[in-house]
Amino acid sequence: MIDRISLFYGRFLERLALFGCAILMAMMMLIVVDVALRNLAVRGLPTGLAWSTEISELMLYLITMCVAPWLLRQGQHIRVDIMLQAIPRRLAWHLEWVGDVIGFACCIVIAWFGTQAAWSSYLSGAVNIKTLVTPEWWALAPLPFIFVLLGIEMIFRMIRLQRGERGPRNDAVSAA
Amino acid sequence: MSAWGIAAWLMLGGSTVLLFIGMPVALTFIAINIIGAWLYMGGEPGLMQLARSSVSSVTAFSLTPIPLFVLMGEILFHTGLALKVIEGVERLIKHVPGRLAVVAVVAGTVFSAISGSTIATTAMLGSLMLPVMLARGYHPTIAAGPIMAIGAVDMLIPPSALTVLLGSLSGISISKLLIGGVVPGVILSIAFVAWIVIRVSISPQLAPIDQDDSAQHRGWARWSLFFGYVLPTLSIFGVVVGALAAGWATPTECAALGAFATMLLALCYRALTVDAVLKALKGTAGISGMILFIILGATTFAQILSFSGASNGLVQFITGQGLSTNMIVVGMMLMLIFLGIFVDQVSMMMITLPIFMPIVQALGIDPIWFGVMFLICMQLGLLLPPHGLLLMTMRGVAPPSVTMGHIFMAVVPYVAMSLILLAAVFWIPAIATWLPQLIG
Amino acid sequence: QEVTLRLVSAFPENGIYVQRLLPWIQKVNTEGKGVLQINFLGGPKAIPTFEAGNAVKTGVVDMAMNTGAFYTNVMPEADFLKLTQIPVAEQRKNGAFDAINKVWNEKGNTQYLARMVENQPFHIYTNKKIDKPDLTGQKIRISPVYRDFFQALNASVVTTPPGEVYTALERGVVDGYGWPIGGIFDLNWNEKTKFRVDPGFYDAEVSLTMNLPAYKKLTDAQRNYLQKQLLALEAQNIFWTQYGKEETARQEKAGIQTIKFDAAATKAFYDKAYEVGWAGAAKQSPEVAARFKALFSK
Ligand code: NA
Ligand code: NA
Repeated sequence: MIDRISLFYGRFLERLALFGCAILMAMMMLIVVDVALRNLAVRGLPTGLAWSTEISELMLYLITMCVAPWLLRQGQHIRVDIMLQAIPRRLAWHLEWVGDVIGFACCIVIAWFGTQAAWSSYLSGAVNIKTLVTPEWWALAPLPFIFVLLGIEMIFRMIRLQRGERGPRNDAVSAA
Repeated sequence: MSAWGIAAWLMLGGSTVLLFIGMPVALTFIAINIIGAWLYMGGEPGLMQLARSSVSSVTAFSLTPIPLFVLMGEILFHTGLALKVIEGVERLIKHVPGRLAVVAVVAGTVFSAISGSTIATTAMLGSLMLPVMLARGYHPTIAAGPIMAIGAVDMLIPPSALTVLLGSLSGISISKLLIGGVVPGVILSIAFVAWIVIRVSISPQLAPIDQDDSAQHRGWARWSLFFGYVLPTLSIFGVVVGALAAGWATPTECAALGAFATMLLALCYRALTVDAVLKALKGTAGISGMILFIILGATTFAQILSFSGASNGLVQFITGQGLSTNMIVVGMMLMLIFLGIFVDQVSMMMITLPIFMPIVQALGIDPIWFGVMFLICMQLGLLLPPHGLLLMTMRGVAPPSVTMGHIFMAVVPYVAMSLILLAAVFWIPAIATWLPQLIG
Repeated sequence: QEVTLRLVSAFPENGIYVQRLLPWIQKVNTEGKGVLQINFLGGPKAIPTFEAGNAVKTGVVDMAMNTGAFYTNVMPEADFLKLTQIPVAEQRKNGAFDAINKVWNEKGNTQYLARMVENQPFHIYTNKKIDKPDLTGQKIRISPVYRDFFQALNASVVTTPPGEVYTALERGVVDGYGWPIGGIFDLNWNEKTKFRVDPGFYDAEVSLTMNLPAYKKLTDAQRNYLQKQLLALEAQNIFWTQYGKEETARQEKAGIQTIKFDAAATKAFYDKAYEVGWAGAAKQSPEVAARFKALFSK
């Protein structure tokens, strides 16, 4: 039962990550189009997209959000495991538990206060005034949503830890 | 203990402990941020501010080159263009001791100018060239060493995702930092080639003279791949620099042009399949998503550290010790090298920059000079046993006959050369600052 | 009793605004022993620039040195302050100051304490000579403060971080930018600037704001002491007039030529700036815009 839910959840996270990939592609195109319009001055088209900068930086934030839970499932959020590899495996396993519990708690806290921040911004009617005028809560809302997803994945992660062998995980330790 | 002392211990000490019990780096920072925001930013409003600041930390146009630079390398890799480039380079280099190792360094330098991701470059060269070298009887150390070493140089030669991140976090001009990495990167490439040639001349058994199946390529056949693939690929670099020089785009926007040009080139070779694009995008999302998520935690970490008074306290403490500027710079570099043994490049920046940059400003140190040395230290960290990222990447792509011992041994001379370069930049700052001053 | 107020700056610490602020803080702290102290926490490295306004609203900090364009997410009216055409001393007399505070209190949970920068008009700096107020065909780097105005002048607008403006000018990615009369030497933009368009328009506004509950919690003695120091700070604003003159002279010495229009075009240019500015304000908050316009204008 749990395995089935976990499987479906994993697929959902992958879809979300793919959506993030689509945003990445769109971000690239948006900047390219802005540069092209600004320099080519095509008749009948605007000379540049004044809002391209603010939309691309919003896209960058959304990419980060969409990909984060999927990376947690993949064990791709890098960490330092040099000590876990050096100490007795059982002790390392217990430390994995400590880390997971703290991590889970963090997700709950950020999800809660992120929601509060977005909610109070919604109530006060705050808007971001740039070239485009957008409600501020649009930008604030994805964060708590993603941390809820991260929190759920943390639970699956702990279940996997409990079921697995009594030792440290094989998560990513570096990247760039 | 003073208030700032307690804050410093709590935040720097706390994050170190969490880091070493193996929590993901991003969550480590977030955990400490929560405690710091609660204590120093006034409880619940502070935690709401934390959420807001986290959002604004990655909603930054200056960070957009990070995924775009990584994407360039991933496209090169997944469309098979990389393979053609290696072949093209291979046909040109003949009758050199350790020929294939030299080819790896030269091809790697070409990749460096297109790829903004050290991992993509190392994985590309490792999976494509290492099996060939081993099959031809190259010793694992002479085969694996140059690949890892030139993978690390990718970080110095623009485009480079880590350089963008360093510039963005430190406030040093990103474009000047990118240009500042060129000369040290090229110096290292040349030194690597020289080392391979000398080493193999002394011990020819390390790299048997191969049958040189490229000997059959004469005349046009020898050059066709160079003109057909290597030059066009290098022209992407030209597009990026050209767009900047011609005033079409800002340095930040150039990253998007570069990624687009790479895709366009792959399209011209009919190599841009949906599958390849998808793989490249996913690979990019993995690497850059991870970096950006750490930024989300770490930017806010630096803010709370500053907010609590710990940053100012530490900076005044360090600059008040009566040490000379050079001694402080050496101390900072030693600390970076030490950190590089244990932690990844992003965390290195996150942990040190909030303290280092105010010191750099207070002492009037040339930020470009400092930034380039910082880059070289990070580059070293990629290669330092036991934890270097590229050692792990190599482990991942190498056949089982290559042991971890081989990999550690292989990297030693290149680590030494990087250390010598670091010392050289320290004594002769012009290595780092001449080109940025020239081009600006 | 003594209270300590925590202050952040939305501007970088090495800029002139913070440099003007620090001596004042020192004076407040020396003379205010036992009454009121200010603890300067830092600039954007402590709180992101665009979060300083919200931090004041929620009480994460007590005070901020900020400009309206940076906290329009707290209330769109914040950016209206650039449209003042009369000195702050007069604003305190004609009711403008109270009108501001009414809005700031209600919408921003914020007390508007003092305006510490005045007489710093914005100018168009460009490398392409113009002979009438028209930026057609020019790529101009903008900030939200004058985006509407520059677009109304047909400029194609580019957003880049301040750190990239030099390169953007050098390479011709942008032909020009908007900036106050002072400060273009800080980032060496003078080296890549040929012309400044006169007259200037709007007034760069930098003010001190305070969390309203924290302000109300002050004892009478503390509030009076703070008020005395704030008025002393505003009394020093004469500095900015002098600074503007010095910067103008410095620009001339650096070879930056002045572009001037004839009297009619000048008036049209200047009036258009405010017309566009107030039109944008009315779009955000019509009632307040109408109220402020009557009080802010000459
Ligand atoms: Na590179
Ligand atoms: Na790179």
